[in-house]
Amino acid sequence: MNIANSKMTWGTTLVFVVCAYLFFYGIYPFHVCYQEQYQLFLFSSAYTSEMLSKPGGLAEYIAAYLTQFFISPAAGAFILAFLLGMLQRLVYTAAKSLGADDKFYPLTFLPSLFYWMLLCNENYMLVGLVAPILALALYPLSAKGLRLWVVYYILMPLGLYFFVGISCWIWFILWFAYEWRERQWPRRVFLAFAGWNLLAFLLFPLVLKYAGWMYPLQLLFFGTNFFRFPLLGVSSVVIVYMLLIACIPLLAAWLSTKVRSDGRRSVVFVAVLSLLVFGGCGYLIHRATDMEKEEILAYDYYIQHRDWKNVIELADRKVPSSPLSVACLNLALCKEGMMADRMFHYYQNGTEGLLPSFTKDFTAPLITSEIYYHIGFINTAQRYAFEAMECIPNMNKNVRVIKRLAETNIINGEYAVARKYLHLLQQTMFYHDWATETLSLLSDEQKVEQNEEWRQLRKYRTKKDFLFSEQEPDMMLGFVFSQDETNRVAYEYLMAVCLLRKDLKSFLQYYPLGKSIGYARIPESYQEAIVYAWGLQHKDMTGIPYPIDSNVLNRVNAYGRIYTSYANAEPMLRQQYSGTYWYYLHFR
Amino acid sequence: MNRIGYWLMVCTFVWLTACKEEVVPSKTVDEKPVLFPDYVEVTIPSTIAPLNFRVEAEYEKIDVKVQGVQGEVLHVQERSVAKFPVEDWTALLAQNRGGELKLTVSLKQEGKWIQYAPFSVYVSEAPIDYGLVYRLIAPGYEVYSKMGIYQRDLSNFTQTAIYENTLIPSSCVNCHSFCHNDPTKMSLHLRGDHGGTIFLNNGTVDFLNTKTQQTISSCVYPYWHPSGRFVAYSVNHTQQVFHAVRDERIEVIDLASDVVVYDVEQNALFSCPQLKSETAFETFPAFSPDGKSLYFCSAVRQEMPMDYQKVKYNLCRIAFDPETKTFSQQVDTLVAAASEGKSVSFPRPTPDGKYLVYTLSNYGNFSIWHREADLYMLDLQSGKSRRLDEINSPDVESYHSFSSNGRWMVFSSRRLDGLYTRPYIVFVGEDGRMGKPFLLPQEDPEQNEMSLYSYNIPEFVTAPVSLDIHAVEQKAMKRDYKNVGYE
Repeated sequence: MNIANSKMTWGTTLVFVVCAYLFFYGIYPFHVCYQEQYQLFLFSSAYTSEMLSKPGGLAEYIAAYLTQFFISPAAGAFILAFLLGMLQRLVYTAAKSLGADDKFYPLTFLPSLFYWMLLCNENYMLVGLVAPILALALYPLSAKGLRLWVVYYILMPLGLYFFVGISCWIWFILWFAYEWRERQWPRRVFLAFAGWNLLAFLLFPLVLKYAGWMYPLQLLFFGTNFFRFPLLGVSSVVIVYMLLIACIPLLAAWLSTKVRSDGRRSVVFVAVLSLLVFGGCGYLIHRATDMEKEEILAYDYYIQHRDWKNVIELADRKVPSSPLSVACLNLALCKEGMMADRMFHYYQNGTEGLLPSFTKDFTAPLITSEIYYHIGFINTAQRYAFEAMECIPNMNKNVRVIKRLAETNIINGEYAVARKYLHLLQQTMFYHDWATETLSLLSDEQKVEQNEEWRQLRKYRTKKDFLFSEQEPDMMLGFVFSQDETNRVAYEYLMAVCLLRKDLKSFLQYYPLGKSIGYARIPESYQEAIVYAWGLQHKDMTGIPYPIDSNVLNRVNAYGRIYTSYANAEPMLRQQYSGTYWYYLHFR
Repeated sequence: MNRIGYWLMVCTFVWLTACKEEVVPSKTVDEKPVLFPDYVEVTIPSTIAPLNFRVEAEYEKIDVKVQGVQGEVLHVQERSVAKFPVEDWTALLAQNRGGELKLTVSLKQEGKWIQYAPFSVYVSEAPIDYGLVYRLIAPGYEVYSKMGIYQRDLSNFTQTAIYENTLIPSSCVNCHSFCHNDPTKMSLHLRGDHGGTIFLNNGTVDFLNTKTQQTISSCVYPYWHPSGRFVAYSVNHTQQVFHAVRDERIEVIDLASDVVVYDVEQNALFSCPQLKSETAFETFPAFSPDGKSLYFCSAVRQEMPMDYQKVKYNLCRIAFDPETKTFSQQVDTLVAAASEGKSVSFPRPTPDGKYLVYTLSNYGNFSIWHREADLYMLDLQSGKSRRLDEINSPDVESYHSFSSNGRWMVFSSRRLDGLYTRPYIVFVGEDGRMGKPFLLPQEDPEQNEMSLYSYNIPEFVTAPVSLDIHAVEQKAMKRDYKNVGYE
């Protein structure tokens, strides 16, 4: 087999790209979509100039532009796979330029595989692919034949530093190795340029720092933020990644001079090397894949898109257990009119799985904001969304939040500030049409009222002022429900708070408020709570003043017999009654 | 075509398209155009940046002729925003100082030019200070993202950062204050893990730890004594609470507050029982221009946060002797706002000491979140207040400060969209009458509408602020504090 055959190398790259695509689209689609919302890419001169005026700005700008397409998991996965493949081919091209043999082709996959592994953490950014690709793409641009080669070599470091940030070192290492090998220039001229490059890359951050750039020095050295937490991104992981990109071509070239094998031995060598590279990295990617996080992001995605059925289907496939996932499920159940019947069919983890507490975080408050929004706490939904945006560690804005702020302000009748957000969204690629259409509604109140969701939420939102207290959700929900007693979501959340707190006294106190909701029958979990509370004070269910299903009465009796007959009744009850409120009451 | 020919053609095309079209109005209207920002009939200083604007109408082109009293004309023609070259504008203003400019606006609509009635912009003889210093921050709740303290050269559009919180991650800055607009004397609080007070005094930067055992918190709201030797601060134990109703968002309440004075020379705080009452909240100190009085706001202490709406601040004054560092026993109430169900915040005397401008809202002291907040002027001789109807709007007016000569006031207002605070500048006559306020000019007026930042605490400075930011970074990162004592 002649592995130098370019079709073979291209074929391997293609298989790699397809695998990457299948991974990101098939296994990790919600990690892909997640990226899109944590930026506000604007087609405006102000945004462009702000992005381009910092080290690594061009790479960040291109990465941000491409990240917009992550709104579609298919497009996002394609971009990721394509860039991973492109990085590999550029590493290969660099290796070839240094004289590497094709039998070391598998090594050229290492940087891409490494960043693929990093991308399993949702906080690694696309710029980590774009910046090295730009640096590698500029590497073959030799000054050979250029009349202004002096200018080229003097300006190159400055340009590179501002284009790609820390990835400029990749260019420098490869350029140095190439020129050293090729001896195109007199050695003294070459060393002078090399010295200038080295000095420039070291000096530029210092110059910027002392020119008053308000960044810590280590951030100026790195330029680009590969990690969403800028200071944490200045880490050994990123340095290892940079070194891999720069050193793999050198290693392949060096090994090519040391390891000589032909024919069958060459095939075996490539097979073993491939096994080591792809097997080892595949294992590491497998270890880095966080399916629990993927699940939370899936829930978040579905509730963001009001896809309640998919949320419930997701829970039916695998019962969620994290507070955020459970909170999403409860919202979906409520919106589908199933919460009062079925919420205890799923794992419940207290009120944190209903209305998660506020944390200074850029993801969790977004989910909580969705819940408050649908209950009718418009100001609270607005606050949580705003806070989530302000928590983004790299100080980006959040396009999803800007859209939500436009909505909450429209619902609140604050059209002037809503217009501001809509004008911003008009400068985006994928929210432009929605913003334009929404703007056109604002001049006509009747058109605004025609939006079913806004009309309903306007009806639900509170008209009397009170100070919001996260510690007293029952009080807050009671306030909102008392404003509009047709607000089923608020009522069911109020009931759910009481049930999850195991506060049957409050449950029984608030339960009659639900008359206005117009249930055809008492929802199942309410029946279970009522019969349990009745049973605590009565010998049997005779005389219970509510129409309880006979099935519930039979089951509570059976449950009670087991519960009182066995010291360790939990395993027995779990099998038949884990979906009941009684089980939650006793064992959760 | 050779390359030179190609470029000649491109240049010719660019030159031709850049030429101004001759305006032959097919219609003239008697109305003045509706501008954004509204600069019609405003009074401006002679060293203000160009008043770039657009007209609130659909049009293909805008043509503006600005004519001075001596006949000189500045003529621009643009597609959307009338932008005046800075140098030409500056020269025109210099030539017309004390006079007026006549602006004639024509719009090209559906291929035809429509000319509006000309309007005037008055160029005052009273100079304005070099620039403005403000904080840019998103109008959020508890969390903050990128923010900083910036200075803006008022004669052009140059804005530079004095401090940005990208320098020290998770840091926040607030309450910048200058000694009578002097940029060499500045107090600025840095909050967060590396918090302290950045104290700039004639080029020396100190990093103060202002929390003492005798005070309830680190220093908060500052005001410099005219001598530069003292800075009055409030010390506040604050809490944020959030409204549920649509019209209101945030309330920042004091659970306790006092007023103290920092002696720069002794590096120590001092106060008096009248400013540290157990039964009252005292805040927002401000020295009189002669340095012999201290204005402050005082409210009867309430059960907090339950009775936050009952907290109503009066405007008070206490005599101060800078020589002996003593206060009088007597506290005068200048504006008994509480008795009228109102609350005073941000008292700021004019530099000539004749007037004092304050913000009046329904309750509390965080007036920026009170839509009803308006500016009032107290005549310190007659003791009478008047609402500044000539500058107030239906939305929030809150923080305000004066130029060093007192002829210009800058104030923050949310009148544009109800949320994002913008600085407005207004001419102040010697009789206390004010002109029509104008929005701080921006190169592109759209910036006022698109920016996601609010302008906090606009303060005039007589020259650029020069802060050794590396010294600040080093002291803050090392927590190299100069501990403040208490006398």
